[in-house]
Amino acid sequence: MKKGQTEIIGLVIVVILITLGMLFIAQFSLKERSEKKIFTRKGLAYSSMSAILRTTVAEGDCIGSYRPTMEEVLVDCAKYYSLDLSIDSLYQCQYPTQTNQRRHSCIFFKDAVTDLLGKTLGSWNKHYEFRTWIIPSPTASAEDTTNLFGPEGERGTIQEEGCPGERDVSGLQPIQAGNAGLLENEIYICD
Amino acid sequence: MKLFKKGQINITETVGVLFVFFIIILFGIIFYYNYQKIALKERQEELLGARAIDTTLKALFLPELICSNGDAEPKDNCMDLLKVRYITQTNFFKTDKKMQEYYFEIFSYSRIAIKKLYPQEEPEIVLYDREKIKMLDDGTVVPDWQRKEPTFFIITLRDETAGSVGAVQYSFGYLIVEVYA
Repeated sequence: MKKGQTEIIGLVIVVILITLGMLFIAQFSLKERSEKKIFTRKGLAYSSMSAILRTTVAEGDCIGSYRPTMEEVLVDCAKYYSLDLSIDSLYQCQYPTQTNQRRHSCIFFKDAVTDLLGKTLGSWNKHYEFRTWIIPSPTASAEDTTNLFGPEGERGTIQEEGCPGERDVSGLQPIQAGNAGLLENEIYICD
Repeated sequence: MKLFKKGQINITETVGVLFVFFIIILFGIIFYYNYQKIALKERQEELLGARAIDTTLKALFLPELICSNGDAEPKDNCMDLLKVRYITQTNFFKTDKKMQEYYFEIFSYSRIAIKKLYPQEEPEIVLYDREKIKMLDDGTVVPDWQRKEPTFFIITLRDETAGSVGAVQYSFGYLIVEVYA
């Protein structure tokens, strides 16, 4: 075999190996996020939100015989919201893990959601953000909205490390809060 | 003689090149074999995960468990505790061989349970449990699965007997589905 032929065979082998290597790398880099994973996380976010809002408060947890749902407690929180929570809310409830003292519905709702999401999403190593804010009127701008569970001027959240990057959302769950305006709620879940 | 030596050199060269070529092919085959082994394992994991999600969705929308409203559309992500109690008390999914086979077709080797967290936290209720098992020569029954993939889903639990008269209580809980591999 001539020298030139030998060198050509060598070159061909090198080209084949490089091509195989690049195909191998491309297979990993072009892999898409599983559609089922997106569906499950979105479904989990939606079911978490609907379960929280539908839940009935435990018997004896609120003053009076009526047992509101968490949605009603949240609406009550919106109606009687003030920065220092100085105005008494209609529902005065206590959450089991807190001190034996019935409190403003905003505090009760935040305690309940923090505990329930911590026992579920948190224990399953999922990060999440629960956001809720009031839009006082249809023409209100972003600055006019009031968050219920965080510092003034920011979208307040109940969260476990938050979801700054890739995440799935429950979708806005709007609730009419009478004179207070429109309540919008959403949960973000990320891994 | 000179020509003969030159020919020998050429042949040796060719043999050498071919030898190296086949060594490289051998390395390629070994590399590909190892890659396929890992890829197969990953694919199995993917399929197990997909099966877990399928089983979870089937459990969530099973008419025997879902919160129905007569002819109206059933509530999604909700299970009726009256139905759950009936199923556990009567061992509904294992009533007879026909039922066992019917629900095995739906759920295969898996374990389905629900847990209520609020208002009152209660122990886990197991709805379906079909573990992969095998019988040894001495007659002992032992588990025959290597791992199980758990999936969790938050749900509402409706109880029409817990609230005051005319009121329905909705509890916060979650569904646990574990599939055996």
